[in-house]
Amino acid sequence: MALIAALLPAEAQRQALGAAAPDHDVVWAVDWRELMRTVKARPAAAAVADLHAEKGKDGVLRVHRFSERFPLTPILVWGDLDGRDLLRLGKAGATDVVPGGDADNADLVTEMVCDAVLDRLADRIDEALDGRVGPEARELVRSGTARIATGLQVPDLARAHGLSVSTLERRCDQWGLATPGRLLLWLRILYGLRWLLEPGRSVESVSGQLGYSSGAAFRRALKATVGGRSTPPRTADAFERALELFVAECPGDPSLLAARP
Amino acid sequence: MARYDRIATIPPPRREDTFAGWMTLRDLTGRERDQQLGRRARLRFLALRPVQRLLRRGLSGVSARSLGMQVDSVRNELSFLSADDPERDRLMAYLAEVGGRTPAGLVNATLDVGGSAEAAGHTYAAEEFYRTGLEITRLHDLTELGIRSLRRLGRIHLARGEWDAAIDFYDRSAILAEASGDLVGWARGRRGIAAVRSCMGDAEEARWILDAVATRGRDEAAPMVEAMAAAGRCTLERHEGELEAAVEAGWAALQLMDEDEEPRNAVLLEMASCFRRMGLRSAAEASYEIVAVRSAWPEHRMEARVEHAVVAAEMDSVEAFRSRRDWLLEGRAPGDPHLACLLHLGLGHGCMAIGDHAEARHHLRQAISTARDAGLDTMLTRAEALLSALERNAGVTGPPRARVPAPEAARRIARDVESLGEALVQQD
Repeated sequence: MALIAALLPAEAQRQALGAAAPDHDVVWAVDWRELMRTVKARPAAAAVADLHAEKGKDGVLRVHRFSERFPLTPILVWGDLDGRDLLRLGKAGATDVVPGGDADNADLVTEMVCDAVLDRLADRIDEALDGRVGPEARELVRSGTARIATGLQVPDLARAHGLSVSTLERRCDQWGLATPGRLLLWLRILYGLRWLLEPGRSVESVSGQLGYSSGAAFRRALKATVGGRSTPPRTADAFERALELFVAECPGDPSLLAARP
Repeated sequence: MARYDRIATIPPPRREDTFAGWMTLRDLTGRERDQQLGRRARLRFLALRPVQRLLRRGLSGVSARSLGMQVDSVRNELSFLSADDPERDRLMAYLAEVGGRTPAGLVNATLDVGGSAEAAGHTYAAEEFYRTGLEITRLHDLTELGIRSLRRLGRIHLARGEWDAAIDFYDRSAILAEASGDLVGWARGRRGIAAVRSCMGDAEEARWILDAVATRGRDEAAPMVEAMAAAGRCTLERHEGELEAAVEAGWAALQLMDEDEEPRNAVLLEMASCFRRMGLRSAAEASYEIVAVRSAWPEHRMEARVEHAVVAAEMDSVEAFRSRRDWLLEGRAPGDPHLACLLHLGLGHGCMAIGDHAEARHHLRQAISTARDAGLDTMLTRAEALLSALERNAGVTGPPRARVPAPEAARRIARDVESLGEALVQQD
């Protein structure tokens, strides 16, 4: 279940989005400013906005500002879009468009919403673990990524898999993963670093989304895992390095490691 | 005055970094406020999206209901195009193929709509349709259609002066054709590369490439391959101003092609241009008469008929020009805007040649109006340029265009072409 930030004034549009994304949480904004604030404060997987939501405002310019501040957060743009709008939206960074004629096409809109909320970071982590740990371990990690922004703790993770904490710890050991506590710590770090790649987010807002009491607490966690300076880095290299460190901390499944060329 | 638009200054995104079909809109760049073009670009964008959706999800990965809704939504927008706009029929046929979901049908439909956009000078829309078609051919092993798609992409990049990309696509088409045993396809690809080299100013390299194609055609007893090389050589030499070499190559190509092959008509049109420059009027007229009767392509037939009239004007045969012009205008006006533009552009040129500036203006304005309504940018540019030239030089009689003396070899070939024309008349 993903969080979608939406700016859709018309009831028909809201219903269309609701029908297309019944399993996702939608937070409604009344204007562009609120949409931006929502995405900054909450870990929205995607944004949806009617280009003409605010009369007199250049919606394309707002989309551009959104994509500059949140370059990794997809934004779907709805509405009556003429050729000029569509041209400008592509340059402005819109992820996809739902022209007026397609808004009632539930399958089509569902496809676009699903594509938009796809957790690419979870895929990236899974890709990094592929060949190092087995499918059960990767499934466990994936379930952690799906709920990392909900304040997930080790007992929650164990319960979600029908296990006791001690059994979960044993399984992680058998599968060659880090301990459950370290696993969740790393996932918070990775998601935090990923969100900080977006200029529109602050350390404080990211820390809050990850369940830390303050930015300072997150910084301490970062330093304890990744090391380095107290100011969290906001670069793709820093994220990749953190991912490498996480993978290295997972001992790996010996049978898989032995089978590697 | 238009307000400053910050978005306009942002460079276009790469194809892989933007939403499906966006590249069809790139022809609007610099013309964002052209509402006609905007509506046409939007229509093409909406039309391409269902096919790209099928590409992403698989041909059977979209429900019939949902695809039908998406296609119907596009169909409802077709009323923006006038009933005689040829792109309207093309899009109707295209949408029918989208609903049919057969791979070959989809590719042919994308190539067709792409061709329409290309003819209008909207190269980005054409490119996006061709690329989409190419992706389908790859997924479904449609080699022949893949070769065609690659060649068309080569042509697009050639038109934009993007030499490296043009050569890459032509080369890939040639390689794919050769691997599948299609020697003529290989020759077409190599001919495309020669055309690029020629445009780059490297005529020697272009000649070398075409000679290699001709040699292979002879070695492998493939007359059509040799013919492709000769036809390419005809075009090259005409552009280089080597008119004798051009007609010699053209004549060689004609000998190797069957009478009903369409490329033969393209060669005759090239030769006709050369004959005109050399003052060999009868041969030029014979070439046009043959094409006007034999060609299956409306564009070739119209060009031949119109230029048949214009050549009379250029040779100061005013009565002959007026008579041919009247004949052309007597019949029903061509419904196809592209053909209508060809007609009026040509007749405008002819009227300019005989000094009838009022009629020339009428024809050119007609061409401009038609081109504008139909979004035919290439035609519009040509017509506007000709009208500007007319307005600049109106009342000023300049020297006639210098003719190139016709060597004996060219005269001999000219007589042979005239004989072809006479034989055609006797057959009829």
